[in-house]
Amino acid sequence: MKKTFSININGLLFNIDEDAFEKLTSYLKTLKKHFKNTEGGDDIVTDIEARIAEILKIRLKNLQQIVGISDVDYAIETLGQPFEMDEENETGSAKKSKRSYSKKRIFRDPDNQIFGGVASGLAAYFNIDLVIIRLIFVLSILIGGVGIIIYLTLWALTPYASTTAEKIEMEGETVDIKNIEKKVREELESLKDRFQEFSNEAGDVMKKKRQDSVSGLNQFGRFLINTLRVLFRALAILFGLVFLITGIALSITFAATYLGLTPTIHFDEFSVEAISFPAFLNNYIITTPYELVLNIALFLVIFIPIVGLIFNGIRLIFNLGRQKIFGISAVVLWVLATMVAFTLSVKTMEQFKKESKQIIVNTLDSIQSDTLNLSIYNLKYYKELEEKSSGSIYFEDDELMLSSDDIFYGNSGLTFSKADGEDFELIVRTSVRGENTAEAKERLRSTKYHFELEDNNLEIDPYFTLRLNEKWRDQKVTFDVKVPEGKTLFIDKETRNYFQWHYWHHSRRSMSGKYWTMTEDGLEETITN
Amino acid sequence: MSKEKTISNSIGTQMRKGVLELCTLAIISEKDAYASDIIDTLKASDLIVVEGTLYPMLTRLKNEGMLSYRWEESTSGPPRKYYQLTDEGKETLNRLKESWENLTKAVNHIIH
Repeated sequence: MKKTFSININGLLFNIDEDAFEKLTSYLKTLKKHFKNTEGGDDIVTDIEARIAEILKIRLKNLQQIVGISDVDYAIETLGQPFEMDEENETGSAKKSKRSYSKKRIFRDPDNQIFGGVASGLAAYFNIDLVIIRLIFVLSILIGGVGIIIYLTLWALTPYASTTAEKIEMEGETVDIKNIEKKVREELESLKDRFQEFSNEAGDVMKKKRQDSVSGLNQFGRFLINTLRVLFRALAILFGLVFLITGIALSITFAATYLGLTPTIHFDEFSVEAISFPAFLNNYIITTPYELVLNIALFLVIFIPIVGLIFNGIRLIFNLGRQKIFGISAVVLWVLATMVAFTLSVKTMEQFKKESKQIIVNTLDSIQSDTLNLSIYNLKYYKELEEKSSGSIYFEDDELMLSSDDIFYGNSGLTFSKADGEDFELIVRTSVRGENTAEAKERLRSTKYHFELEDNNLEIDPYFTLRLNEKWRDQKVTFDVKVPEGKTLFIDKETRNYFQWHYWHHSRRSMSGKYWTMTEDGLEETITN
Repeated sequence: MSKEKTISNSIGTQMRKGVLELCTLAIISEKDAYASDIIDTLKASDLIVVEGTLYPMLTRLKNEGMLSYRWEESTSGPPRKYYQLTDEGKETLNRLKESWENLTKAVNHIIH
């Protein structure tokens, strides 16, 4: 089934197929555009229109017959394309060189299309083999989906080459370095010429009529406008490239971190597999029911500006028109997403309102010796733990280990200080936040830390654990080992690696494998043989 | 396309354009004509490839004061634009004819 229209060409009524109508309209449009700056251009188009009516009338057996695409093709072929109608005269050639800037335009190619004809259009624009362009697109999809964004952008922005004239424009003069250089040189030459002309005329201005200087000024003004236009174009391309490259870089980074494609942290001998940002938020921060909404909102807040960069980069490079609808809807969507993300973030922040703290003092009075041996759980144990874990995220100084079975491990802190009494002491400070004190207190109970004392050997677990599916609410556990004055602390050699891996003071590394005696001024190294 | 071919092509185009102007004026001088009459005559002599070439030329000749036109009712359709030569057009045609005669004489002399 085909739609037909009833149209009036030069006083004659025709019935015409939809596709034929569109072709005819676009032909007339290109004609109008072509003769826009010609004196009497409107008359030319009107006369040609009249001729089209005549050709169609002769071709159809009667006026009731429907005009098909083949009839329109015949009429267009008979009359010719706009560029074939050009008259070449002295002024014509000068005009032509000026026009060559817009001679080549980017189009989508309907003859070689698979999806939208973007790749084939680009191939024609840059005069590169189509296969290479397609390959680049396919490969660029692999780097964070950049190819998809660029493809869709070009699809939305570039027009279809529907008329023959547009197809010729599509394949027109090649845009390559040599051509650009040539154009710049041409522009500079004409700059010199016109400046000469201008100064000559300016010199003659005393003798000659005033009119001459006016035309000289006009010419100079026109030249200035042309030069500025070239400069602006060059600037636009430069900015476009910067936008495009930044956009691509950002989207790669974004995709990598957002989707968890790169490990967040590397250890000496093994690296921890990273988790995606949404999974991290869902598992460890956000409480239901907002998680999906917040994730979508956050995604849009970051993603829209990146797409905007790429979109506008391409627009500037190829000198394509604005697409207001895209811009406006993108801004509206971004503002909405930002508002949603902000509201939900505030809601999540409320979960951190109250803090609950607990300090437990363990007096280690069972120790008979004057020396306490401090060690941490066997390193093998952390390795297992870290191999099981699916990611690692830092909050300020605390490192949080995230495990694959959703048990959440926190990094315990370790400090040393002087004890007031005669005994060694181990003070454990625990803190956690919650929406209210009761909730925080409940969380405090499920925050488990571990240490063991056997004779004078103290073993501390560097990780504390939370119950399954617990969220991160700024849980902190700190061990404070208190040493009485005159007594000695031996810090096991094994801790060296541990200190090295974790945030515990870097200077602590040098404390490993040594004896430390508490003096009035704090711990001092004891030299032993 | 080879360079020679391009040059001969462009000379051919230029020549055809000039001749086209002469012929158009000549056709109109015979009898007032509307665009399709002119096209038919020119096409019969293979002087134009696409019809569209004629319209910008007619408009230019009119703007240069060589032609004027009037609207005339037609028995078989909408009114038509009939072109006629102005005095200036007649003068130009005579001059063009003269230079054409001279040119062909000279060229024939050389190439035969």
